[in-house]
Amino acid sequence: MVFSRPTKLAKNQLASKLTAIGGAIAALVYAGAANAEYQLNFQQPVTQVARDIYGLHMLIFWICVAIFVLVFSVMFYSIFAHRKSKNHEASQFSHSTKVEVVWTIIPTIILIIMAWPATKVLISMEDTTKSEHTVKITGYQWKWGYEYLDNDISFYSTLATPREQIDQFDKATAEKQGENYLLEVDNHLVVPSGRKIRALITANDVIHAWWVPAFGTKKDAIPGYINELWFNVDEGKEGFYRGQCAELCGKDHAFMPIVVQVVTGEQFDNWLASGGESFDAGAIADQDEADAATSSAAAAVVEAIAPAASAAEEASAKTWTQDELMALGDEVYQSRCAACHGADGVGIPGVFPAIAGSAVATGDRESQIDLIMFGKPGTAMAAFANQLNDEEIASVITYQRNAFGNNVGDVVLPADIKAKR
Amino acid sequence: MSETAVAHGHDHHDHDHKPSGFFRRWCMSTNHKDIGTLYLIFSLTMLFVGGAMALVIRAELWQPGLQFVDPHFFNQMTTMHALIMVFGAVMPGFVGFANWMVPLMVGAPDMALPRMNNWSFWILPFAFTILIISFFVPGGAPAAGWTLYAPLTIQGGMSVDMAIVAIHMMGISSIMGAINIIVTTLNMRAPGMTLMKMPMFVWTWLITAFLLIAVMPVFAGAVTMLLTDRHFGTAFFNPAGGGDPVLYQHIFWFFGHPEVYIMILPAFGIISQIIPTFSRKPLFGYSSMVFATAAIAFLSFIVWAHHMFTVGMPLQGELFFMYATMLISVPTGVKLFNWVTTMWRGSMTFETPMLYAIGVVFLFTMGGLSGLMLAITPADFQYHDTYFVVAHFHYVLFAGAVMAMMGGAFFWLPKWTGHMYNETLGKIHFWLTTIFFNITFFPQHFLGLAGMPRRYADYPLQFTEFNQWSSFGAFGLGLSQLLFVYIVVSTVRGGKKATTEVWDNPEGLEWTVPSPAPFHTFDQPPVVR
Repeated sequence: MVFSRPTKLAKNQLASKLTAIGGAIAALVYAGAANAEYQLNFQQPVTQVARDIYGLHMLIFWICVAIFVLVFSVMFYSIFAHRKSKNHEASQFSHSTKVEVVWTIIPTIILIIMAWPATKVLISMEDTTKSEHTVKITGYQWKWGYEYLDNDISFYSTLATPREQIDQFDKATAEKQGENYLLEVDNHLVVPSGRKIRALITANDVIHAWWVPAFGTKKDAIPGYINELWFNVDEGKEGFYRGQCAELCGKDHAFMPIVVQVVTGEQFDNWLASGGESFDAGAIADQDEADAATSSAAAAVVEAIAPAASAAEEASAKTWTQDELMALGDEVYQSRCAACHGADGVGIPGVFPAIAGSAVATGDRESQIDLIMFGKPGTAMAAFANQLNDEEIASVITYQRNAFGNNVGDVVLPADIKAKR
Repeated sequence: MSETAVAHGHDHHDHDHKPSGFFRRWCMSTNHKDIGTLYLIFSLTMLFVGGAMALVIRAELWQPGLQFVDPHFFNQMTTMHALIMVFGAVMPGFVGFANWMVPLMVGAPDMALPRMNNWSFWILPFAFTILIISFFVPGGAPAAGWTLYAPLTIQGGMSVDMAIVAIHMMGISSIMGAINIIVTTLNMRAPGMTLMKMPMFVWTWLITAFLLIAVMPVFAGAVTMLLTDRHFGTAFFNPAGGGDPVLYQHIFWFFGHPEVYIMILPAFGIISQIIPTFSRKPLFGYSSMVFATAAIAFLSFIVWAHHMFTVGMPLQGELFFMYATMLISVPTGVKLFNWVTTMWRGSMTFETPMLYAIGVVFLFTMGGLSGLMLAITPADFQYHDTYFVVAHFHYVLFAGAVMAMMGGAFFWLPKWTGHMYNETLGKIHFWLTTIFFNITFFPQHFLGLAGMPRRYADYPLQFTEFNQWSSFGAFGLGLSQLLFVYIVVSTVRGGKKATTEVWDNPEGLEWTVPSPAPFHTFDQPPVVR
C-alpha cells in the first residue's frame, strides 16, 4: 500500500513503472510525452473515499502486475527454451493433481486478500448517515438540476461551452476550444469543504449518472428512483472540480458536465444566507477567472447573486414588444431548444420533430404553451415550466411561431404563462 | 474391414455428390461444411461492416469538437458497431467453426439436424438486413447503446422496433444452432469417443450451446417487454407508469453476462486445440479444463449485476456480486495455467496459428486482469462506464474471441481448402494485428482512469493525445484485416497442397480425413480407442 496517499511524486513513479512494463507501446507513448498531456492514472483524489479507492486500485493493480509478470515469465522462458529449433524434445506429461490443487488454492487466497479491504471501503462508501447538508441532484436531457433541500435554493446547470467551439464541421466558423472545453457550466454546484454532503440523485427522463472523479463518487440518476451518495472534501482542497455524465442518455450525453465549487464552510454559510433565488447566468461572469483564484472567487459569487435576483423582479413588470420577445426568444431557443430541434428548426426526422412548419408551432397557441410548460411524457420533450421563467417561455414560444418561415404573427406574453402556472 | 480400408475405399468412389447449381449448392444446402463456410463468410462480412462503423467512431474522436458526424449519428455508430460485432461477427463466426469442426472432430457424417442447420443460417442475413436498413428509416438506426437500456429506448424511433425484430430472429437462429450442436455432440459421436475423450473445442461448444439455450429467451423476453412498453401501453420499464428501469438492466445482464462467455468459451476451445499441436504435447490437465469451463459457465449466471454496480443496489447485493465475480478468476486462472503448462517442456514451433494462440493467451489475460480490477466494487465506481471498460472488453473480445477465430482459421484453412496459406503473410498479419490492436486499445485504459466516459462523441482537451493514438491504431488495425481477406482468398484459390495431417502429427479425427475434407466424411464411423 505504498501508494495509498498518492502525491505528484507517486504519480510520476507510477508513470515510469507503467512505461517499463507496458513494453513497446508504453515506450512509444512515453517518447511523445515530452510535449503533450498524458495522464496515466486517476485524478488527484480530494476525499477520504477517493483516496481509499485509489489505494485499493493500486493494490489490485500491483497484484495483477505481479501475477502477469510471473505467469508470462514462465511462458516466455518456455517459448525461448522449449522450441523445436533448439531441438528440445517434447515430454509427454499431461496432468498433475498436485499442481492443479495448488493453482486453485493460491488464487483463492489472493482473492481473499483483495476482497477484505474492498469490503471495508464499500461499507464506508454506502454509509450516508450523519451528513450535514443534503443536495438533490436531478438529471435531465441534457442538464443537471440542483436543489439545496434545507435552504430552498435550486437551479439548473447547463453546458456553458459555446456551440462555435463544439461544431468544427466548418473550420471558417469554428472557434478555438477553451481550457475547460466541455467542462464548464452556467451555474455550478457549491459545497463546503470539511462537511459531509449527502446527495439524493434522480432523473426526470432517462438514466444519467453523476460523477465527479476527484470525489470518488459515481451514481446513476434513474427516473423513479432516488439514489444516495456522499462525499466530504478535505479542508484546504477548495476549488473547482469537474466531472461528466457517465450513463448514455441520448444525443447530448457528452454535453452535460458537472462542475462543483468547493468553498470553506464559512463562505458556504454566507452563500446560503445570501442565496435563495436561482443563479443568473451572469452571476458567475467568467468562470475561468474564478478558477484561477479559487477561494476569493467564492466570495465574489456570493456578492453577485443578490443583484441578479432583483433584476428578475423588474423583468416581469415591463411591457414587451414583439421584437424584444423575438430577440430573447432567439437566445433561449439557441441555448435550450437547438440541441434537439436544430439551430435552424429542422430537428432530426423521426426522433426530434422540426419546429419549422410544424403543426404545433403554427397551430393552436394554448396547446403549444402547454406542451412547452409541461412536456410530453415518454419522449425527450421536457417540461420547461420550472426550468425557465415566464419571460423566457413566452419569448421562446413567440420566437418559434414567427421564425424558421413560421408566420403565425401572434405573440405570447409573460402574463399568459403566469396565468397557466 | 479395418478403419483405414474404409476410408480408402470411400476415397475411390468419392464423387462428392455436391448439388449442382449455385442456388441448390449454397441456399438449399444441408451440408455442415457448406453451411459452416456460409457462416464464416457472413461473419467476416459483418466484421468489416462493424469495423467500418468503428472507424467512423475513431475518426470523430481524433480531435475534440465535432468534425464529421453529429452526436446522434455517433450514438448510432456505437450502438450498431456493438450489435453487429456481437451478433453478426463473433457469434456466427463461432457457429461456423462449430459447423465445420464438430462433426469432423466427433466422427459424425453431418450435423444431427441438417435442415434446421440450413434454416438457422439463412435467418441471419434477413435479420441483419432488417437491422442495417434501420439506418434509412426516419431518425436513423438505434442509438441507445447495444444494451438498449430503457427508458432511453422507449424514446427511440421505429428503428428500435426493427432492432427488436432482428434480435428475435438472431435469437431463434442461435437457439437452433445450439440445439443442433448439443444433439450432434451427445448422439453422433463415433464409437469409443466417450464425453471425456472429446476434443476441448467440442466440450467448450457443448457448454456454450447450453448457455445459449438458457439465456437467449431471456433477452427475447426483455426486448419484447420493451416492445410492449413502446406500443401496447404496458409500463414494465417506464417509471411514469409505475415501471422500473432497473428491472430492464437486471434482465438484460442476466442474459448479457452468460453472453460474454458464449463469445469466449469457443475461443478457449480453439486455443486448446492449437497449443498442444504446436507444442507437440498433449493438453495439460484435460479434465480440469473441462471442469473449469463448466464452472465458468455456472458462475456466469450469478454475477450479472457487476455490470450495474452504480444503479444503487443494497450493500449486501454489491458484496455478493463482487465476491461471485472475483471467483470467476479461479477457473479462468486454471485454464491459463494449463495452457502455459502445456507449452512447458514441449517442442514448440511458431506457425501463424500458434502465434495467434500465444497472442490470445497473453492479451486475453490482460483483459482478464483488468476484469478482476473491475470486479472490485469500490474501484468499479470509478471505472464504470469509462474507456477503461471499453479497453477491458476489447482485450477480451477482440484479442480473445476475434483473434482466436483468426488463429483457428489459419489452423484449419488447409483442411478446409486443401491448400497451405502463405506462412510469411500469415505471420505479417499476426504482427500487424497485434501491434495495431495494442496501439488502439492500450491507451484507452489511461483515458478511462483519467476520467473519459464511454459513448462520448466529443471530449475535453486533456484526452486528446491518447485518443489520437487510439484512432491511429484503429485505422491500422482495420486496414490490416484486408490482408487477412487476401490470404484467405488466395488460399482458397491455390497454393501448396496440404497433406492429410497438415501439421506435425496433430491429434484428432479431423486430421484423418483428406485435405480438403471431402463433401461427405465419416460415412462409416471411425473407431476411437
